Amino acid sequence: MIEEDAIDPVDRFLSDPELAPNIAFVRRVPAAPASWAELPERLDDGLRAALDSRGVERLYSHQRAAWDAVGAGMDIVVVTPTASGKTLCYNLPVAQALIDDPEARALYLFPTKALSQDQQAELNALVLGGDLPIKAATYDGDTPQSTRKAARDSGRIVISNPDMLHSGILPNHAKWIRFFAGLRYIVVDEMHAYRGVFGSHVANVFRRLLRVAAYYGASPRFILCSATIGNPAELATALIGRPVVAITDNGAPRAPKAVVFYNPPLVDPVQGIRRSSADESMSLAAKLLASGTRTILFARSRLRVEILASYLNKRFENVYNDNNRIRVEPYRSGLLPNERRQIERGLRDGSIHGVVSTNALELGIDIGGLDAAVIAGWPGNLASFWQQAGRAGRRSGASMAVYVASSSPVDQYMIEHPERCFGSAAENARIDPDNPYIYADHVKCAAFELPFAKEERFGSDPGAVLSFLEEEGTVRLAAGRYYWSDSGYPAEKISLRSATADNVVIIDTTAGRNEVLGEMDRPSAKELVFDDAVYIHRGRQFIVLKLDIENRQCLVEERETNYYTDAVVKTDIKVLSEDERLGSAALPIVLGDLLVRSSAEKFKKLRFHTNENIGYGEIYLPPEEMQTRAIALLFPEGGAAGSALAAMGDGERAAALSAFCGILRALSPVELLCDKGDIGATWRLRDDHYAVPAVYVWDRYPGGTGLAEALSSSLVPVLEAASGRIAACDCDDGCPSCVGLADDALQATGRRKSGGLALVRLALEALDGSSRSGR
Amino acid sequence: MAGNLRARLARIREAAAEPQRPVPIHQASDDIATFPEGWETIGHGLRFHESVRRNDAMAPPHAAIDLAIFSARLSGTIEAGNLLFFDLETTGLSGGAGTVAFLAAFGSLRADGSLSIRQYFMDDYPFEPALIAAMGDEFARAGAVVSYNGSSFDLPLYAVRRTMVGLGPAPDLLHADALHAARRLWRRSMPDCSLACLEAAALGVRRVGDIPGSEVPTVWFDFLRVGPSDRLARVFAHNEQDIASLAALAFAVHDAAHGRRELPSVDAVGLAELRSRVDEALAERTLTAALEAGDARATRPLMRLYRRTGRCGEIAPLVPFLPDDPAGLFSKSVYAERRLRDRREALRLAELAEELGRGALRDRAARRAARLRAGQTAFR
Repeated sequence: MIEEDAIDPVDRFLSDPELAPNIAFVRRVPAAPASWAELPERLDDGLRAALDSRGVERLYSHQRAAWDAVGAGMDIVVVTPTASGKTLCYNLPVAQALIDDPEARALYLFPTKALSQDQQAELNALVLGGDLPIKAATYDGDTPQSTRKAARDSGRIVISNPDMLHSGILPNHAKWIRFFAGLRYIVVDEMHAYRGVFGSHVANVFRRLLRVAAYYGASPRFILCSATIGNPAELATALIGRPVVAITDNGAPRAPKAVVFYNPPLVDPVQGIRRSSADESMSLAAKLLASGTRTILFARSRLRVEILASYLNKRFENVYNDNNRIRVEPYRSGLLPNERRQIERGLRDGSIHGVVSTNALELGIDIGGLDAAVIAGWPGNLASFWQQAGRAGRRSGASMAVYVASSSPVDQYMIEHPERCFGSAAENARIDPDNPYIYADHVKCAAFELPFAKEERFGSDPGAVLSFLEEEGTVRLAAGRYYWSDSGYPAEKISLRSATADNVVIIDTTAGRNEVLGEMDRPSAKELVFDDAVYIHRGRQFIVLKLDIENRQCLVEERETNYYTDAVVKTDIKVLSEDERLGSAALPIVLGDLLVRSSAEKFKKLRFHTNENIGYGEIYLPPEEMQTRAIALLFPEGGAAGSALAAMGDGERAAALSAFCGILRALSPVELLCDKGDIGATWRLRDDHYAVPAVYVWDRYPGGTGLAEALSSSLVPVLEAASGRIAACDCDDGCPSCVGLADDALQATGRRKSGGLALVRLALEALDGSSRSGR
Repeated sequence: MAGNLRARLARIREAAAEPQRPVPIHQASDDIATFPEGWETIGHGLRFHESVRRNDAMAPPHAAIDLAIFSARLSGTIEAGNLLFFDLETTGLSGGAGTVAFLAAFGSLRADGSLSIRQYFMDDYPFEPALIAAMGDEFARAGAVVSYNGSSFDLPLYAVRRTMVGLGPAPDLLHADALHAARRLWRRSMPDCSLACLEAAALGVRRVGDIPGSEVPTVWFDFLRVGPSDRLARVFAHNEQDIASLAALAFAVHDAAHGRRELPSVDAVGLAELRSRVDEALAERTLTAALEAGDARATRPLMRLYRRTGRCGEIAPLVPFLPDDPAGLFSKSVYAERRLRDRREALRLAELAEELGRGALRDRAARRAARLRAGQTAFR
């Protein structure tokens, strides 16, 4: 080995003169020792032997705490970081219960199929190590028909995912009698993934699960596991509909890790434009890879992943140096299962050196440990940040996580407040199991599974939905029960993952080929794969020949282009109801239903690398319309904020409102566990409905997923962050890092930043106290 | 939850403004306000109807029926009079706990050779336990059950319904699914193997005013909401005819397998397979005739038959008759090399097999071709 290798790779990275000026913050998280606890007294001998054979002689303290709480009959949620031995938290009590009672069964749920495969391997290791009489069976969309019956009849532990439970298992519960009758534990791993739309659906799937289990006389307990979020017990309680105890003290040891915050240099200080975080991350990743550091690069979108992976591979193509053996693969949703497996295997066996991934690799898919993680842009929340950072150095040894900020307000806010990453300020996860669309869908599914007794309890108001369904003829009320009375199979049409079940299939038709490349939900398809759009799949570029919404297919053809496409989306709104008035007289906040109509009528063609706009195209697609939950912030003249607006000229007022709206939307994800894309916002100089200036923020999922409600109670901290961000931003008059760029007309006033800041401060004054005590 | 769920649901419904399912319009002309004739109430919410058909398409009630003809897994014979033909009409085709059978028909031969068809109908969902119990009684009296597609639809559904009404698992039934045998005979010649299609083609049955199966659930839902109609009577007739056709078809297939009857458009290879289960000599004649008529597909079953009956010497001479698919070409290449001693022809065939074949077969063909090529140059 060469002497150089003795230098800590982290030091080498930090002392690189090209990088050093841009490093905003470094925290070396020291190694931490384990906190141990003894194995439980009444542990089965076979189980003890199985643990022994794997070298487990004692437990981490949190594993023991989980055992004790489960033993006391509680529903629990264990919150621990990556690689802290969380699987034993559930495997141990479940295995013990299954050994104690030969009729007992358990259900393991993972958010993705890939995860359940890893789990079965893990379980088999534990079970076979001690020759335990426990059979674990995977039951998901990939399980062949021929082995499904065996899984149903003899699987003591059934490993599945919520989608399969929803569409395959619950509607066919009569084939699972023994399983449901014996169901003792439901294990829910990666609970933090069950938030927003998906979580709201899953909460209802759990209602159905418990209902069916009760029909067969079982009352299972839940063991949930989650990455770090602000409100694990609250989310768990909302998901399963009863109180849950949180176990949060992690007893596992930690390997040392350096966390680096990197802020790309300003290229245009006036406009506040920094060098692109994607390009900078790619250079950092390239540097790391070239120095032999196995690296994962996290990008925010599927498109970015594809672009970055192809750039990286091009970079390493040079045949005149050694780097041409370095292989980098893109990893994202929408790949076919075998493509994903191939990449996972390559990462584990080392034949792939680097990977560019969306958050698809955030979850516990086993890819072994990498040396460095580069995170291009704030991943949206602390749980994701730490899971992505945890991809580097899962097992032991020093590793490094580099966060590369983009120009966006949240990213810059995080650069300014790195302490948020290390404190306890994790965002709160929200769901709304009573979203009327989602709830109604699951009442339907539940009615299909078992007739509803008239007074039966199920969520907030099953009677409301059932009488509605009865009128429609979907259920029939006879002898005090609602019977499913339709020829359809409702679960089939309801997707837990997206607003609509009708996915568009993307088909490659190049040279007479007819191959399915992937799928996309309908609303996304309208904004991403419209006619003439450029679609990128595993680094290959395709042009969309025809998006056929009616037949749910999108025909594409492989074609090299020097640009990519981005739809310009227009939005109209209409107030449907005012359900709750919050805030204060000076700044009323109205929570209610909103009709949002969005349409993409044209798209931009942007040149690769430079992002230069090289032309426009037309999109001919019908608009998407939805009803959702929203808050409206009103600025009546009686309040200080309102009168400040009234005193401004029209242009200035518009500039201030747009700035306020921009920063509010951009920074909401600092407090809410959601993506910027999960909320929409707009402003009105004089609102049609309220007749005063107004700013609207809405949930972009039909019917809402609790975000509007959550924001109404988090407005003060969001506005505080906004005020800090605008004040700290050194741009001239608004930039993408604070209030955003605006069109020329608004920019001409030259008062966007000051107007926006003034409005934020006045709004804070108006809300301070009222909003906090009001909720 | 914020907001009022009922109000929000109502708003969503308005916005959706989807055309509601059309409520059936009562046309005085073809409307029957009363329940179709001939039905009697035999329990709370359960109705019963029996019809008897005299039909020369039926086997004599004491005839011995070979069950193996319907399924290679079954063996032995049963008296025709102990067969129970059955068929369900349901609220949907997708299965699952919310799919319900509301009408069941059973057919069996009476001592005088006529076919008795018994139908059970439930008036509404709460009466399902009575219907399922009545079905259980019918099954208990049967020696064997014959269905059309019952192994993947009707019987699993029956098992689920028993669970749902609390009757517990169904006792084991001797079950022959006539669809499987029918597929062997007509898969290649018919657009589909639905009972409706085969009864028309093979039995000459013409249904008049039949209701398509896909409309059956709607008729039941409409009955629940607005009462009996002409369409309900048509569903009953449809269900009854299904049993008559099923019985006639099953006996026809049985007779054809025994060589006692000719059926139109039948695939000889499929027929030989059914025959081989009861009469190897007849199966051999069927295959030989097919081969003589130029059907290369008959070659492999005939080879298998010779192997089964220990006539291995007769297998090799059949090789030249194999179809020119990759496996056939491979065998012919072996034959050319070893029997005909024609290495050039053997190589040609091996190369063809490699070109057309896939997977392991292509690899074997490639190795064979390579070996033959090497040998060729060595000998030159």
